[in-house]
Amino acid sequence: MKWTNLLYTEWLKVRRYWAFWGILFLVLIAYPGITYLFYSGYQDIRSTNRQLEVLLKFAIGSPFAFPEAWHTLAYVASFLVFIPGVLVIMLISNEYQYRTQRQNILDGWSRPQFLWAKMLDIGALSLILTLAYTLVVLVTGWVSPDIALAGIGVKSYFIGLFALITFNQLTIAFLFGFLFKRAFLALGFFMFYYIFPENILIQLSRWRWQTGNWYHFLPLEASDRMIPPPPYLARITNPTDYQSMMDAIPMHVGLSICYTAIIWVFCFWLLKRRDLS
Amino acid sequence: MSAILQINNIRKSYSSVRALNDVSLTVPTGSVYGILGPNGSGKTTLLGILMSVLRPQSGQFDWFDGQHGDAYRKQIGCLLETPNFYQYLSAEENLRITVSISDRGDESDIERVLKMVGLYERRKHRFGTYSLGMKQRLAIGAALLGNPSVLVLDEPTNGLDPVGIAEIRQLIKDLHLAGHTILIASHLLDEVEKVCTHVAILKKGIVLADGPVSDVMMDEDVVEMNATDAHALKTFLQAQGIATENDTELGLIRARFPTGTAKLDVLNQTCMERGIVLTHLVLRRKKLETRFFELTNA
Repeated sequence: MKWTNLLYTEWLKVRRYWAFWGILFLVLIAYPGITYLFYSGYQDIRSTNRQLEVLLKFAIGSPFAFPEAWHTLAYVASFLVFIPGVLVIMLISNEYQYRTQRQNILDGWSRPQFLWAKMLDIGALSLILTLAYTLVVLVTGWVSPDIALAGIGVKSYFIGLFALITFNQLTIAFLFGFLFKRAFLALGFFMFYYIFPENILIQLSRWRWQTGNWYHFLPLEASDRMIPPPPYLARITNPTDYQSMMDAIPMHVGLSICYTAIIWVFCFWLLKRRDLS
Repeated sequence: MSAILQINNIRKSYSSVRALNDVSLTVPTGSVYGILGPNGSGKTTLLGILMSVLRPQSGQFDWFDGQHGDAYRKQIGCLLETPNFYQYLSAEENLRITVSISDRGDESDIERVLKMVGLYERRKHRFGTYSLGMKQRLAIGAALLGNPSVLVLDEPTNGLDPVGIAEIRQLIKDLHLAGHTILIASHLLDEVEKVCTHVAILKKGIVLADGPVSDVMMDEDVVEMNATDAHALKTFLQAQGIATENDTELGLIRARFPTGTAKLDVLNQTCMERGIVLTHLVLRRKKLETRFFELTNA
């Protein structure tokens, strides 16, 4: 079966699923919304007085102008990736709740085809979110008073990084839905994992155990490190580390691709073995 | 008659419970094959394995002369256990998904099956708002999409009202006449007896009997008799070594013969020659219910 047919079938499943479109709409307005919040806050501070404007420009540059807008807004938007994760969990847990996963197989899909279809869902969602991010960056960069169109393409590689971080973290959300089957359980564990275990380990490793940088290799941390804090933030929080974080991006890209691949291979392996009851 | 499905030594366990124990069956092409058994006998597990949603521990099965892979399921209309559809979509939208996955049928076929199962007027309504009977009808409609040559139906009359049950039974008979092969799992003896040509009786995962319904039901010929002189008749039968019993309620004598050996014409003539005038002579087929209870010791 062609991938277009898998995608078409998935489209038939969500076309009239209003809860899905409602949440997607919220996600899509959250991106420009949060950008506007930061942008207007920054402009307000700048416009308070001339001295502060000069000081801000010196300290953090022009975070909403090209090329820095790519980095700033990728970093901000990466905090919101867990929200579309809810959509992914909804899509897979529905299949279990309605037993349509089993029915899809009875109707003729192979087990791998079912998973390929879900991967296409996540790919399509990642594409939509990446387009939204790109659009928000282009508009923000265009209206920024420090407009510098010459630099528009300089850091546009963040589009690819944002697409990858989105696909990677939506894949993690899918794994929780796939394993726990019930939406509330999957969502609970996903949110818990998103917020607590890795962050606790990181803080313990940094401040108590002081056991080196092993935590960079944890799945979510590796994913987050594909888009490190923008330079002006890094200058404030950890100035010496900024360049090393930028240099480590390729490694974290590789690591995230590996984690994503491992999760999908595991899902294919598990679905092949388990009974669909 | 060639076989459309060959099942060899299928075995399946759930932890310590053995759901199927070396099940072997042959389903002839064009038959209506009933899998009969009490709750928990392994009927749905067997169908689940045949449709590849459950994995057997051992054994194998071959559909359509040994087709392998997953493609064979597209040639089979299947209703397994419960009707499974997207609650938030209408009947029509759900069937479009079935068509898209199975490659069976098209838009006009969706209309045909919805009319066939009596849901055409409610085709735009959400599946979640349907009654159990309507859900069951939709599942049967989905199985009929593309007019597949094989249907696998697990308890197809579940949740239907008496009219619905009669309609589905008639539909199954019509499909059989049109040459379809139908595999039905049921715990309703009456259902199997009325629509099936072949039957397998399962108990605790073991096949107790299988074959054409007439063969499975009749392990002996029972002849109901009476005569003007009932005492003389009974004495004559016992002298011939034929087991008899009296049905005092109906005032009849029941004589039991090995399957296929009771010849009514010969029996009548022999009695006449001995001056015994028969007033009642009927070969009774054993009800499937009786046979089922005998086999399963229920």
